Amino acid sequence: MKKMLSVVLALAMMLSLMAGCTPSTPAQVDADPTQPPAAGAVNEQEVVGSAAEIKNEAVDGGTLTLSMDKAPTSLDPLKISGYNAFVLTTQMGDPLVAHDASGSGEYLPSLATKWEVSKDGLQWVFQLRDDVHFQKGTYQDGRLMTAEDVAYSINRNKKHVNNTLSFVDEVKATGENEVTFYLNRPTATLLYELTLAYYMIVPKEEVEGWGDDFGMHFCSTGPFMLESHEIDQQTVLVRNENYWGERPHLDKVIFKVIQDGDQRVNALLTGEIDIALSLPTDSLERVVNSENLDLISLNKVQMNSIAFSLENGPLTDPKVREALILATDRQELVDGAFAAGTAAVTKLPLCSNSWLYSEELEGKVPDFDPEKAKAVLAESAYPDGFDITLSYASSVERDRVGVILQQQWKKYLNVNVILDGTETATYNDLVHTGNGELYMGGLTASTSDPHFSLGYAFDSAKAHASYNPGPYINEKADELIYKALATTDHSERAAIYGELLDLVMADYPGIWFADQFTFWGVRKGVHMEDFDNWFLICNGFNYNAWKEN
Amino acid sequence: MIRLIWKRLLQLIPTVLIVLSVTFVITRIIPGNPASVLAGPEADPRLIAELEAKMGLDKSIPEQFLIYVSDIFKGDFGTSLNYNEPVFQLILSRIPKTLMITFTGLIVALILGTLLGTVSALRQNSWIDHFCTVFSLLGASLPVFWIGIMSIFLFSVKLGWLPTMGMGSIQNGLWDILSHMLLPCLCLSLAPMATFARTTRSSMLDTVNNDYIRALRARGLKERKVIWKHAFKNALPPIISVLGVQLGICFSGAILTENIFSWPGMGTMISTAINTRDYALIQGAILTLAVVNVAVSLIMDIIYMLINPKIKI
Repeated sequence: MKKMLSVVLALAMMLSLMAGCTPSTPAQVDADPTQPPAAGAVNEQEVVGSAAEIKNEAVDGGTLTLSMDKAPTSLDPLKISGYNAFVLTTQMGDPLVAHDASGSGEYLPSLATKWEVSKDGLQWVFQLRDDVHFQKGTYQDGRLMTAEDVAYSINRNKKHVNNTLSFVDEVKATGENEVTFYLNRPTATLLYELTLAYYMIVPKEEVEGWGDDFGMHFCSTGPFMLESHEIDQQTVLVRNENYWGERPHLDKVIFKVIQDGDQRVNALLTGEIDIALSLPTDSLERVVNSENLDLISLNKVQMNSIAFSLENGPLTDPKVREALILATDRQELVDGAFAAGTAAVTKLPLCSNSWLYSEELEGKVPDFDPEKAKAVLAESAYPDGFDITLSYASSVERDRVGVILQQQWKKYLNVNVILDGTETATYNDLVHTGNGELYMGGLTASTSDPHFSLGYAFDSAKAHASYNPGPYINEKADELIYKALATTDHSERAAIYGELLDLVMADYPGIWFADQFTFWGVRKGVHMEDFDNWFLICNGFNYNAWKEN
Repeated sequence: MIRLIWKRLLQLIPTVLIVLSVTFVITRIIPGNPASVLAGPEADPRLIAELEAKMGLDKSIPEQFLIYVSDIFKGDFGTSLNYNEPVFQLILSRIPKTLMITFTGLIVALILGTLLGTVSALRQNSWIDHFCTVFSLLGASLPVFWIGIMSIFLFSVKLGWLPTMGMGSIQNGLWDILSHMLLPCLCLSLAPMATFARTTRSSMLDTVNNDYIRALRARGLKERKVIWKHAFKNALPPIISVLGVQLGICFSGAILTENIFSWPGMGTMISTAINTRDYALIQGAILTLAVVNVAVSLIMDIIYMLINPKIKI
């Protein structure tokens, strides 16, 4: 008896040790049983408003701490790859022209005060500010930036693999404060490209002085300068006291590396970080339920699509491709795979926050119609169904999409889908080598310009890159894509893109089914306004984040 | 003794060679390649081919292996793609950080585990003995990452006592580092603590019931002296051998723990290396783990012999 009692006692002791961890979780959920999972109950308007609304006067000082999932290995504009590198480099430099986060599609002056384009669209002349100094570095003492520096920085990048300015032949300093871009074909997206971190202006002395190590000692013209960059730990930026624009309110900005998504939420809840970038959708509820945090919906959309391989397997038959599109119930995919309020159904290979997206255009893509799907498949070379592999980089949402799609296609077409969810490096290699059949992926549209979703997806120059894994190769399509770039007029471009959609959709190249929204968690008391893809903490003229003491 | 050390050092050579070739082959077999990771998903396949050639990945695997091994004999372990630093230097800079938490965790585990084991052996079938049994069972069966997540939730998020992640900085005082170390150490120490408790308990039970212990007691020796000087000393050898095994496990187990707590040691480095197919770094890191394991077991054998000269290995 005594022995029994002591066993029970010991067990109870162990349980009480664990107990501290468990009861609070259900309590938190029970607190608001009416709340649907995740962001469903979030009133976006209200949330964004509360962060932007300035309750009191901006104060100077303080440190803003943000999280990133992994540290970039280089901050050199030449070598940056991945979102975090872009974000970090962007805070330390200035573009020639700035994007307008309000989504107007307009460009604002930054290092360039005004610009002009020649009639043939082949020469762009930029007038530069004359009061911009570089940050103090090891090889120069914060000297004035010149037109030569601008030409040097952009030409330097042009020689490199990252180069997105293939349509620019050369950049020359054509005056004391003037640079000219010489294009080989008229391109409407030049201004957009120039807002990217690739084209931050860097001093030649530092680049040559540091050599390969410049990426660890980045130096540019921006409001914050690099203090330390410890890979796997943190990157510390400090205020540039000699900045040409409005003096930054914040003393310091720290980007801490936290790999695990739930850990980012934990650190946000404890106040170790002020802003958590890219929250896992399953943890949004924790942010919504906390009274110290705001949930911010970003002007950034992750597209979700399944590209058909036009090289391998049954998909080379257009009837098969058409049948698969017809047998896909997009609404069910979105409802089943994504947490409520975190994604929307789409149909077009076009980012839904683009100015071009319309219901009318959606009409160019066949609707869900299982009966017709069956009939179309009956006419193909595989009337009784077939086996096919769906490859993707595994994530909670994509795993779910795979399973739902498996059921849909089995039910309507007797097609067996084999799920091949792997980690990112494996999937990317598969895309690059073209060894897959169905590629589930999708790009993150960083701008509302249709060229970067619609244009990229069917460009033969992007074949076997993640934009166009199929790959879809059609000379006529290439022609239209470049024709649409040659003009800045929206209605003219819209007409060309309409023609392009008619052309490519007749070939049934893939299924576009959902746009996923991006969410950030922000602590109350942080005042930041730019919640665009490549957000800016401070940019000298309209954004200057600050933190309540 | 010297002969033993020589013999073991010689045995190290085939071990290292086997580890080298196995990791080399495995890194090449797993799908995905460093050039495509480096170039990014949006990259043009032509660019990737260019990078592959630059990195020597277009050569055949045996050829690549020969180059790698001959470089190693020159003392060159390659350069990490990710960190853009020589692998050897990188590993040397990370090892101390991993040892910081593994050693501390292990020492805590050793002290508390043996104490718990000894007490429960002496008070067989008491409540503390049962506590020890249940604790060992849980400690051995709860996965490290679960304990990590739960302890963060309790101590950092709910109670707000400890930071959730990172290493802190000595500039902010010793407490900053210690407070960051506490949870990872706790996490790492639970499983070995359980093992130490179990081993000590059974080893002590064996010893305590021996005739010579009874004889010592009969001679009127103080109980404390009987237990700690005579019984415990004789119960030590199995604990030492478990310590060796646990040190290896702990060092490798740090990979998970470090990732949970964003601790900048070998673990976070290895997982980043694997995710980005940083071949040279993966190979270097695994080689290091292998060498550490072999070295630890050698040291343990020596300690074993010093404690009990009767044992010949």
